[in-house]
Amino acid sequence: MNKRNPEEFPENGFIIVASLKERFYKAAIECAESVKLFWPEAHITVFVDHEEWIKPSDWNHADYIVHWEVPKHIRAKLWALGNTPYKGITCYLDADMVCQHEDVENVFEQLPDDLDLLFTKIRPYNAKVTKLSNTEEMTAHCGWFLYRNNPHTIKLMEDWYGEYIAQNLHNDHGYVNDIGDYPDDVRKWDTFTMWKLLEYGDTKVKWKDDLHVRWNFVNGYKDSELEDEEIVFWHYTIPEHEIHLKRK
Amino acid sequence: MANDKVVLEIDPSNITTVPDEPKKKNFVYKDPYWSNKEAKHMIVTLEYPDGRKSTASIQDKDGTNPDYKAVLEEFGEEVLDENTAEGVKRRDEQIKKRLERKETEVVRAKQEQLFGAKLQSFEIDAVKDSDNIKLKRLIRKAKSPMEVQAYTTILLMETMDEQKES
Repeated sequence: MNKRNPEEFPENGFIIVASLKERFYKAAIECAESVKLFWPEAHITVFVDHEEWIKPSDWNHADYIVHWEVPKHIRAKLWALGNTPYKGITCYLDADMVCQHEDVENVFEQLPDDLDLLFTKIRPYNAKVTKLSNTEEMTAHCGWFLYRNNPHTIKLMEDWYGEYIAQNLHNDHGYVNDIGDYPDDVRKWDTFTMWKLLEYGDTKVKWKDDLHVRWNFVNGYKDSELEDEEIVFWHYTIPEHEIHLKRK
Repeated sequence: MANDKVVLEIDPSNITTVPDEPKKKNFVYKDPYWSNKEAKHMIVTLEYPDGRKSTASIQDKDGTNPDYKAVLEEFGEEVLDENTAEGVKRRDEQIKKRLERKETEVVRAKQEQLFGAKLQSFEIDAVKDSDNIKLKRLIRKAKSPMEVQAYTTILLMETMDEQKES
């Protein structure tokens, strides 16, 4: 179906991932459409685990739609990250985001030369879990980030997927792998996996989580956080009941 | 006969009573703090050997409450003062958190309303299929549902005008 050649892709681009529920794919295409509205030259790859969801019109919004080998997994996102088609910088977008500002065309310039990975910060007042203990807190928001395609960053992304699977592996007796004193509730969060890898792993990845909130403004954040800047990416939440509906 | 009454004759001089022994308490006091220090009123957690916990309110109006005396002897006034200060701080933090949560809920509801308006606008075929990038961007960037509505109307009117001309 796809006739575009990844070898000829621009250095930098966006990836959006949708798996298991068609509503996520619909959101992914809407997200791509919104990016193109403000930056028609942007290059966007959508990863999806169900080929039958792809409609011909979706190619008007996404430059590349990948379905082969995409795992049917709730965190197919983590698999896709290590398989980015972009040789330079990738901007990962959660499917439930929309672009609403022209500054999107400056997105790749936000990653400083001396960094491999850049997040925005989680706002604890708007998050389910951030604090893991008195001294440990997850601070990086894993729903939007920029990363460089170099061996150690790609390895981190691959480890992210592997570790997430290991963290949730269970048999009849419960979870197979111990996560120490952390509550079992955090196992389902890929943010926890990334936090562990960055805090306690041996990664060489240079990262920060101090990018301005305008790049990943989540529903519930206070407007004052914007400090008079305008939102570039709005991050909403798809209502639970919609996720289970078939695409119209 | 089964229903016959049995008459017991007891000589009161033969009755001996068990001497009163102080009851051994089967719990420990935990985390006592003042509810009202001036009124000698404290709150304390009672922890039982099986792990059960209960909260007790102890007041010593006339200086004879043995529990009040026991708690003060075990912990001392200073510990109660410290626990009270910590409790007040904790309560204030909880109130602050509750207010913040409430505020976040209000903000979220307002933002959802705005986002919902944008979704509705882009669900209109004439908007979705329009080539009017300028107005479509303005709808996406709108900061209130009213703004969304206004730009949507302008876009639809321009589309109608274009259709008339052609």
